[in-house]
Amino acid sequence: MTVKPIRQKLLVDPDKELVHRASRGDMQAFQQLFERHYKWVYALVWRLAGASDSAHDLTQEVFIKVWGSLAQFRGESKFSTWLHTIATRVAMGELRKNKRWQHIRLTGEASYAQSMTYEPSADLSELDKLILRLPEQTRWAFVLHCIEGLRHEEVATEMGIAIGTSKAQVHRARQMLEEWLTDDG
Amino acid sequence: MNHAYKQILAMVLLLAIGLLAPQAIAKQQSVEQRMEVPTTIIVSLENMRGEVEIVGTDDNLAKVSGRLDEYATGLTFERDGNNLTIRVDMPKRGNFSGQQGSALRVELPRRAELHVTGVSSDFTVYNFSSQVRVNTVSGDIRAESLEGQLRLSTVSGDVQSRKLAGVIALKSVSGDVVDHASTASSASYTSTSGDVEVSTQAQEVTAESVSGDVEMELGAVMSLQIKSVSGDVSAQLQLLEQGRIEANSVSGNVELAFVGALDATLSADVSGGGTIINKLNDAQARESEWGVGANLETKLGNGAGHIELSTMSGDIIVANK
Amino acid sequence: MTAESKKLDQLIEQARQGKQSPQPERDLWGGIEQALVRSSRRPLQGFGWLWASAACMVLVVAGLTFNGLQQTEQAGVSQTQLLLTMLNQQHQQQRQLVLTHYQQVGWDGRSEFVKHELEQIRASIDEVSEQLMQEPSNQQLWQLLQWLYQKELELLESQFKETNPLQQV
Repeated sequence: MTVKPIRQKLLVDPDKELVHRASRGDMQAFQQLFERHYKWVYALVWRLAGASDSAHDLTQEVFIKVWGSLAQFRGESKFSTWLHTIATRVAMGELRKNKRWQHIRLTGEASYAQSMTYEPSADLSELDKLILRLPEQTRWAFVLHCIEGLRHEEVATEMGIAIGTSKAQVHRARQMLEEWLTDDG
Repeated sequence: MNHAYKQILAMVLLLAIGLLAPQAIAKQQSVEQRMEVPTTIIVSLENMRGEVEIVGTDDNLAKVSGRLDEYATGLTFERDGNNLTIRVDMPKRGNFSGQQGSALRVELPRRAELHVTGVSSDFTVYNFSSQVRVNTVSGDIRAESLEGQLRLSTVSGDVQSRKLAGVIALKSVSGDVVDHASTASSASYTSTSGDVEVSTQAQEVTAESVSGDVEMELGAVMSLQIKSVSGDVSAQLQLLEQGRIEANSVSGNVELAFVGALDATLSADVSGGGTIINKLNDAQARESEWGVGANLETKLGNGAGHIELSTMSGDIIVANK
Repeated sequence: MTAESKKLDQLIEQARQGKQSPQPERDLWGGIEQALVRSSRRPLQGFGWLWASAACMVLVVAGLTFNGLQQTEQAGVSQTQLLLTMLNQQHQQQRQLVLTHYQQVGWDGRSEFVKHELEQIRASIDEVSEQLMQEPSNQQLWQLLQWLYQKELELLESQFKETNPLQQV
């Protein structure tokens, strides 16, 4: 008896009206959607990219993709969920492309060393400062699984790795982070 | 039997045209075609560039003659039931920078319904009595002796007409709209930066302009509506019993001159720096309490009609002719 | 569970809740808007409903001004201001829509054609809006404002037609 109304409440998407308008070409509505969601999209891609420059570009790219795909959004899930999927996919797609390119130019170790020397800005949270020090693959798996809440199967799909590898990377990430917490603490 | 024969002949003709078409790419192909059509045929005519003269006749014939655009790939001249298509076919893409557009004369039954479109093509249309729509972008439109539902519209060209009757709508964005000696029942004139110059007997008139001036010599009017941004508006008219006038402008002046007896309630309102000059009676405009703007309310004759005039910063002038 | 492990879980939980997340250092919307306008290629749709909605607004205004203005005077100017803001916003949306649609078929929005008149209309919209704050019950002014809105949209369309004449036929 009580379950039904709660479910219905959960199913009401607060973005529904704006999405509907945006899908008909209303750019102001789309801008409002952007205002509502860009902060966490930025945080997500920043953590995956590990750099603010690429995070700026990636966030923009995510919203451009979303605009182009609004017609395909059927409202079966919440808009925020759907946006989440697109953001992850766009960011991972780009980062993996860049990674292949980096492999040709540098070695994986070199980019790792680079990320070690990166000086994080002061207003980052403790966790975000540490995340930057994780090797790329390890960081991706950690962010997607631990922060974004994707299942290992989903992480594996997004990253193009085996489920076992995802688990191993997350485990490795936790180990490294805990170790750094001890050192810094 | 006779009908089938005609059909075969038409097909042979069409085939012949089709076969000839590839050679039509040569510069400025001449055309001379005719076809029997119902007198109430609906005609769709398209010509991108050049000049087309369209004339209504008393025959039940459609004729096209003249020269095609130098880039034209051919002429479509096809009838499907009560619809006739006349189209100067052009390549899908291209830079049509040459000077030689089409120069065509088209004759059609007077009662034909016309839908004409062009890009830079000028159109001259006369002697039709059913429905005429002309749409062109940078071309001029000239019209004479048309009757019925008339809509003539161009973006940067001029519209010039004489002796129009029926329900007419003339529109240009940057060109002038000039309509003389029209006996329309209802007329609407729209221009943006061009001027509107009109003499019409229409009882219902609307005119709109942004920066162009509007000058109208009207007959006995039941309803007149004018809107302008910065253009000046002047109209001379006789207001019919219980007629209605509404004129609004932002910074343009509004000047009305009345012919004959005038029975109306007049309300004039200036919001900004303009003034109200009333030469119809002794009523004086009241300055607003704040010193900016003025207002005039007065009854003329038996007060049956309504006149509402307003501007932000223009002047309002009302007088007897 | 070690103390570090517990601390890490806490930090992760904070991150999941969006507390102290990395934030962009510059504006992101401007770039997105530009890209949308440039890259989209959706077919041009008719604007019939747009004019219809403009007509609806006239009715809304008529109703609101008729019913609400007595209270307005007492409650200060806020109602008029609200109404004006609403109308101006709605017009902005429609204007953006027209622009976006034409830009999607490849128009970059630049045109000198009737540019001066468009500027005049923009200025007039401001002028009339301001005057309406003084005279909220002036029906003719409300109508003039509506007409200016409509005129601006029409002119934007004509700019497109003039710059891209081949889209006509």
